[in-house]
Amino acid sequence: MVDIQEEAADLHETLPDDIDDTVDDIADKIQDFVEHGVGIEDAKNSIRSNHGVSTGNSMDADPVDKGCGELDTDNEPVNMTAKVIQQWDPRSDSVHQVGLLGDETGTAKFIEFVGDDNNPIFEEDSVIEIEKGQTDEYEGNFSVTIQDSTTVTVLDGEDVEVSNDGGGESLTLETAALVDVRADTSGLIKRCPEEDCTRVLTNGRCGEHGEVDGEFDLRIKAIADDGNASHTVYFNEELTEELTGIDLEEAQEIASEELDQTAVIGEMIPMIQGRYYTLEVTKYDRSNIVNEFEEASPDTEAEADALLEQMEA
Amino acid sequence: MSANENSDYSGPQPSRRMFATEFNDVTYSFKESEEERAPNFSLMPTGEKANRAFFVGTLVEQPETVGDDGDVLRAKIIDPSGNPESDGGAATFWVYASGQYQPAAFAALNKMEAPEYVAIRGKPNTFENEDGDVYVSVRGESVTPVDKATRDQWVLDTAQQTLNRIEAFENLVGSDDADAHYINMAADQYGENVEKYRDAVRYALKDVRGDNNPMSGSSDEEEVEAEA
Repeated sequence: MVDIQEEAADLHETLPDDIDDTVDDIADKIQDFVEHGVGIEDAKNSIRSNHGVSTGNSMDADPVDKGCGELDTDNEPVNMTAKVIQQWDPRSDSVHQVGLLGDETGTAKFIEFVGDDNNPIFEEDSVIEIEKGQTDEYEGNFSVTIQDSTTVTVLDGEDVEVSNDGGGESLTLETAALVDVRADTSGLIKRCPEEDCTRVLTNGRCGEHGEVDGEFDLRIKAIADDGNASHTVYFNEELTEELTGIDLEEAQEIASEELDQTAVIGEMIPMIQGRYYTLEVTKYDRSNIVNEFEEASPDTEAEADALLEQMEA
Repeated sequence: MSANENSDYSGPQPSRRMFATEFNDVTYSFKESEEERAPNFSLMPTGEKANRAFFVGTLVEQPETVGDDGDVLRAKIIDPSGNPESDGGAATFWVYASGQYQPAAFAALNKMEAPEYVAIRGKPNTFENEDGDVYVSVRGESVTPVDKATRDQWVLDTAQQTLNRIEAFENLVGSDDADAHYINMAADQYGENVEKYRDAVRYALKDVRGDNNPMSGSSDEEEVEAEA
């Protein structure tokens, strides 16, 4: 059994003299971490880190100044000044806030998990300065995580120009139905392997490079339509997996079993076509890239009742 | 909503939300440009133009093969916007899919087994018989079996949008307002009685609320709560 008081005392010795925390305070904090399933050593490292003491982690490297469109290294501490282009609705209870940042270099997703020391929800169009945010890479996309050790300052009265090349206008499509999925170019697809070309192949051919040995990928191209406007939207590999529960590996298995690449979209369409979603998208020209989505699931009986009441009023 | 909502003509046209009660009255169609390939629009009595519609209803019978070559499927799909007393609560969409021209829709309809909830996106199509009667049908494009939750969501969505159109119609009919263009066109073609579509909204919403269903889950919950 670990003696938390003893660990706390040892740790307290190594912390700067001018901190407010007593040994008991440190013990409480260690206890808190341990109760949350964090190991003793990690707990101590976290506490050291919060007091600005080096723990030998990569997070203690000096943060690098990066623009939204310049994020290129996983797990890197960064400083950024950017505009909060959009706030999205968190889909999970563990997310405190999530959305899109933008500056002259492009756009990047930001996320802050629920914790003891959360920042206030940043207003859309406000400019924030992030010190020591942590980059995260998933499937080639970089985002920045705001952690306990990250300092965020809202810069009142400042403005940041958001580039249209790196990013685009963001919008939310509320209760849009995926009225049509473009089967011929969705599901398990192949992309051109030539440098800087990501074209989707048709029958093994790239529109630019001719016959090539394509690389498998997963995506959905669909029409999201709310009755007043119709948008062509694209879900990337990660989002297609979230949408359908089928990942790239499984998709390739399906294709092999059926000896038919199109069998994959055949399985996916009944799962999503004709259904309602709320989509957060970024507009590039005529394409809308989906960043986040949520299946719509209203309490239809209650809403019908409310609407009927409204009608009688 | 504004007549200029979707001004990107090269993009897909929005799929309008309307109940079968309204859809079957969409007998007037027009083109906005002389160009051969310009889209065809149907005029909705509630004052909006429609190139496509999206609806979720119940397939009540096995689709029938029709047409000279037997290459066209016809499906009867109902929604709850009809008067429970006169129509049994059902209003009907007649959906057609040609094996040659709408193969995906044809294949999907062929696989379905009534009764089943189905989501359809398609184009309004009018047919005039020798007596000059005009019938409206759907040329099905995307056909997908779905669940009751999706159907109920569609009813809510369509109810809200229909009410919005009716409100705009009543406010703007006869005016010079920029948003009154299709409203005035509809008043000319069909008259100004939109109360019928308000009734349709009520019937459909009541169905989702569970009024028509003696086995509705909510009434069980109410009983349990009352006992608690």
